[in-house]
Amino acid sequence: MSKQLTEMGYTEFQELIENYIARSAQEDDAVPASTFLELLFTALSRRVQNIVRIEGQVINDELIFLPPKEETPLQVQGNQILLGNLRVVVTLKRKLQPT
Amino acid sequence: MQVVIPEAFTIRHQDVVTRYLADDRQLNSAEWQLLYQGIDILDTAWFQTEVGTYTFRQLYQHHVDDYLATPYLERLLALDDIEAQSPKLIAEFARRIAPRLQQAGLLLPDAPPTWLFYTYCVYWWQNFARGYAFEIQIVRDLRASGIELHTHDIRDPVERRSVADLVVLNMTGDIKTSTYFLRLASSHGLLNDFYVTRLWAGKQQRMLVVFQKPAAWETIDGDTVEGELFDLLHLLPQPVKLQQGDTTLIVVDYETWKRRVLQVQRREHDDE
Repeated sequence: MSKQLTEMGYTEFQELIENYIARSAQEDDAVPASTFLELLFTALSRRVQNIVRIEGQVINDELIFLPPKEETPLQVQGNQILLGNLRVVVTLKRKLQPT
Repeated sequence: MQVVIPEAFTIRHQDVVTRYLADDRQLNSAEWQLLYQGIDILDTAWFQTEVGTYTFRQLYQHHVDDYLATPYLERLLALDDIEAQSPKLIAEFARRIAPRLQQAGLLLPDAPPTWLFYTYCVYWWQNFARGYAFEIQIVRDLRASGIELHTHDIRDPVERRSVADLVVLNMTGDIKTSTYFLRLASSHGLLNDFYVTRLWAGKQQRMLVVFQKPAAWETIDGDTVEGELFDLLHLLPQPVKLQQGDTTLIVVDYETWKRRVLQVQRREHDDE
């Protein structure tokens, strides 16, 4: 392992950053295409694995979510799903009445 | 004032960050992964001050993005030749970060943990600045090629954060450098129909490509050849279908993609 960032003198650190600024202003990160693809598909497959299943019932024409059966980061409340500061409100579309 | 770096940010992360700053061409695949992981961990590092606790991400937003983004984009949009002129502008704005952080007491010569915050800010700034230079360059090229498109207004801080950068043939798309593309894939998945990006095809050669969802590729009527991740560069410029687990993406060379889009748009006009 080479000398760590926080083990350098301040002047040496400033030089390192200045060289980085000059170089990275010119070019993207030099991630080889094969590495990029590997990281991309790994990231996407991880996301696909993060599936949270919830069930709902239609009661008196209203969609009501049931509490998740397993531990998840989301909560449900009636027809709403709460995740962090996000509130997803799901409303059923009424069927058109035949004329 | 105290800087708290999460324990998850290990000496290996710091080592790879240091080596990345010195010369990113020396990193191997595992080290790139480690670098991105380390930067993600630093999102949640924080400063404990007398007035409160603020994460690196929050402080970056306030002291760098809010301070530099709009003036930078105004100057960038005024350039005639983005590819040739933007590097000087990007570096000029990056050099404004240190004085700003020093003034706010967030970069101190005798407090090495604050150097990590400065590094984090410069890393994200460079990615932001290069990302928009790339976006403007591509949008200008698409317009010059005669492609009809709608774009978001990058001068507007709210619209700038919209999910899609542009709409072509009713398909939503994004123009992203490879770092942002990976970050997006990890955090939000791929919400748009297509993504224009550039890949490193060798030590010095970059290649413009478009990643598309299969339905988007069908819209512009294309055949594909099956490919594996390792042989993509050998198969391009043919449109290549990559499949890993549940994810399928079609990768096509940018010039081929433009030609196909233009053909469909012209056909649509002829039918009207």
